Amino acid sequence: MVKSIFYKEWLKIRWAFLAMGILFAGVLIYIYASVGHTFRFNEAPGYWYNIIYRGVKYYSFLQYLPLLAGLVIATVQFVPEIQRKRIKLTFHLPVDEYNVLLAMTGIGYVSLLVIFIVSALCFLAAGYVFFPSNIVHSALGTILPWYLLGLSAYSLASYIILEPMWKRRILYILFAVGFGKLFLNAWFYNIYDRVLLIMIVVTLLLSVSVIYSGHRFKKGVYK
Amino acid sequence: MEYAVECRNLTHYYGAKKVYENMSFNIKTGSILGLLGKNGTGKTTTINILNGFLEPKAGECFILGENSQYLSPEIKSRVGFLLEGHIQYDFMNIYQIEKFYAQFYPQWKKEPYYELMSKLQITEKQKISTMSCGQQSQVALGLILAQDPDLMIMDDFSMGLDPGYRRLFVEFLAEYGKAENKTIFVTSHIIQDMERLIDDVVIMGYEGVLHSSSMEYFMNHFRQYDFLLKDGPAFLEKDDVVVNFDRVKNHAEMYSFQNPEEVKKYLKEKGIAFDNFREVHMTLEDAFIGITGKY
Repeated sequence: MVKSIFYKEWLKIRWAFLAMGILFAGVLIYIYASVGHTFRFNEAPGYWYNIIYRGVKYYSFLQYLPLLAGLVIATVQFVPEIQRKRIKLTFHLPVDEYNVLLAMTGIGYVSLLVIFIVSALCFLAAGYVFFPSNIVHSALGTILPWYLLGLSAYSLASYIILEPMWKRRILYILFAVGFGKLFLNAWFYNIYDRVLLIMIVVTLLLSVSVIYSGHRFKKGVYK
Repeated sequence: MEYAVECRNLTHYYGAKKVYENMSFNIKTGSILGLLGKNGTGKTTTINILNGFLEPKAGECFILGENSQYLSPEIKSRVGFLLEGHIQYDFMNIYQIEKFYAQFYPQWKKEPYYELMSKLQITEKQKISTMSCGQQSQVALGLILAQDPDLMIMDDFSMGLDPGYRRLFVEFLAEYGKAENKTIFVTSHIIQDMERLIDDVVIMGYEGVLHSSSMEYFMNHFRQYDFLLKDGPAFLEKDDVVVNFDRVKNHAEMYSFQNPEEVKKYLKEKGIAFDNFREVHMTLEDAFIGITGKY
């Protein structure tokens, strides 16, 4: 069952997955090309001072990228399912409906994790070339909430797309925007370190939220 | 099992709007039943309840012995489902979609699917979304045939099809249903398609089920009478004899399950003077309009 579901979901997300992979690679190349350029052609002590004392993040271009990836993967995966209520076909498959939904979101999740983990490893590896390890590690602690936001955005977007009522969708979007902002307040390094564990737990809990809107869709609940 | 589908006392509302109340019907195993009704009478609502996509306010349906709200994977594998408009995963091509579905059904038969596909003028890698409505209908039908289900539920199968494909669909379905002893439940807004296909008919109006019987009984017993009114009331109310009545000037049209002699007797008892009384031959479409009314 999982193999077949994976096949269907992969057909939907493959181009978006590829595009996001290229975008992440492009942004990482741009970030470190800029860092290299600054070290080589500008005044390195000034740049160093900005990073250490003023909290300037050389990787700020990365901030909204996981969010974008989460939204794009959820959209290409679930919008075709609700167009003309096509998800009825999925619910009619001879397997448990909720397991199918979990498998679908699991595949979206894994595809995002692949992009995020590979990009984070590249980010780290390239970081070590230019900076001491404690700066690179604190940078990783700073970008982690952005990656968690990418996963949460994927879960919330899937949940909202599958919700059958527009009134509720709008309500959920407002909640999601407020919730998302909580992940983007990193005005200085490692500001989220103490709540990182809670953020991970919340992100994981959100990953199964799609079950509820899927259930409402399946039962034809329109209120 | 005598009935493949049993629905008892179905009641459903959308908000305050009643769709129907206490609707009951059964589908005999191995028969083809057509659910006919004008737009908004609850055909798709019924299909959604049957597939467990909608919870009725009251009542229940049993599909192959299981409550439709809690269908097990085993029962779902025995039910073929055609969505209104022949909707499928149209981001796939015909090979990808066959490969996808085949994994779910142990009794999957790909031969009838590819036989049907070989008749379509499509390229090997053409996505389903780029095919015509008629071609998409054949893909959806081919997938159901490959699934080889005991019960086929088809929601408005004629939607978007040109006359050739409609005829092809109906003839194939009728032949296949009989040859393989399949139970088929169909709805269609094109009534003339049904005449060649169905064994039993359920006709729905805005108040619920108007009539339910075998097609043979319906076509043999439901009659249209035309006559000229000499004088008398402008309109006959519906009752045990009068199913529907329409009048343009002094030309009257009356629909009834009674035979001509009984209708004439009825009119005389009501004191209605008439002339040129005659029974009019009806197609299923005429009979459908006769029982549901023109408005």
